[in-house]
Amino acid sequence: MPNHYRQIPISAAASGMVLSDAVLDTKGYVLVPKGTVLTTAMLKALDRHEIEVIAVVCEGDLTENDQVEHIQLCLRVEQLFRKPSAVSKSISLVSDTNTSLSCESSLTATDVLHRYILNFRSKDLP
Amino acid sequence: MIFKPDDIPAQKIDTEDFVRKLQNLPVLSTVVMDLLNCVDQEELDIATLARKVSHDQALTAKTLRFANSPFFGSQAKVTSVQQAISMLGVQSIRHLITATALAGHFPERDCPGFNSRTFWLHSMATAVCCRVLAMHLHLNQEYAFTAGLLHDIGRLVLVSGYPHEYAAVIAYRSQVDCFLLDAERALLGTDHVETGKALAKHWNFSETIQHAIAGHHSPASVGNASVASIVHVANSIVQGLDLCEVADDRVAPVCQAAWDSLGMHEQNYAEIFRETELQFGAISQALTD
Repeated sequence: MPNHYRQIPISAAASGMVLSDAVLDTKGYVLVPKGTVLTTAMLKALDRHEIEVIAVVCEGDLTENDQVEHIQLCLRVEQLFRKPSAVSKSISLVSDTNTSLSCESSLTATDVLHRYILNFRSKDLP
Repeated sequence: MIFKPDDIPAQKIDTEDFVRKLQNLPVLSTVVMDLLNCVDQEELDIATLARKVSHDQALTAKTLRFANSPFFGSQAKVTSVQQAISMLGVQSIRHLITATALAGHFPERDCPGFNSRTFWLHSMATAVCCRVLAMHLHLNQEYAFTAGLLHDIGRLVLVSGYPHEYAAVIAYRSQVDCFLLDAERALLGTDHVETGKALAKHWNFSETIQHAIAGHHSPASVGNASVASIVHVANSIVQGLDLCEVADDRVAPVCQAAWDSLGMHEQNYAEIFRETELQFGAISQALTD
């Protein structure tokens, strides 16, 4: 099976990954050549140069198992962020309404965290 | 069938009885107090740590176990673990020792449904995440770590003081699928935040840690809230990342003000998630070796 590449944010890059394309700066000069095995120091340097996305080699396609695992991970995130049921909402009202979890907190920040974690779990996919 | 709070046989906790139970808890050893109170001391090295710990026999045994773990050894084979060690540092390990010592102060009681291993895993995961958040925010990482480690300590007070009642809280929570905090309030008339505050005061924890324990579910309520906000957000992050793999866990809602006060973007959080997972992996490996 031929090697493929995928573009990943620098935050998702790890030492040991292999560059499938050279990393260029804004003027088009080569910062790191194609085929380089990334190191932690190199990643920090790329970060300093404000490189946001790099292309790395990935071996083969996603297997069926990978896809099933990914779906399970995402379902688990959905389960962890499940909304309170009607009954549990009424429990919140029974307890002190001033500081109760459901009343005191806005859903917006929770929704943002939910999205970030979902994206984080999906980042290894093409 | 769904129970209403009134149908549950658990008894509300009597304040006087609670205060009496608190007084009966053993006083923390001077070593543990010492370790807790020098969180801002940057220069503490392994030798100093070992000297402090050697005054306490039980702690000595535990520390030796830590020292022999891959954390300190040069035989560590996994590269990611080695990286995590350098990120984690001596300071955090000192706190892990403290946590182990603290855990020993609560008598083991039969409380069906309560898993003390999961409890400490969640505490440590939160501590690690707090430390990573503090690093990104250029705040004191040691305060953040300690606060994260101790934020739920009120739960241990409830479990050890009222095992029967707390077992009913846990059963009720899983029946109704509400938040544990709400189940505590509905059944006991108090919650782990209140008991944690009382304990932190009783044990003379520093003011920062007291605030963090008091405010970890409502960080806006405790004034200067930076550490409380960090603990609050870290608590939800580690639940969302499923670090402790509790089947029916559920992410606590994030307070908007606390979230906004950290002022970070998705890319920051992606790094924070990754570093938290990596460091927590190293810690749980050292603990289970």
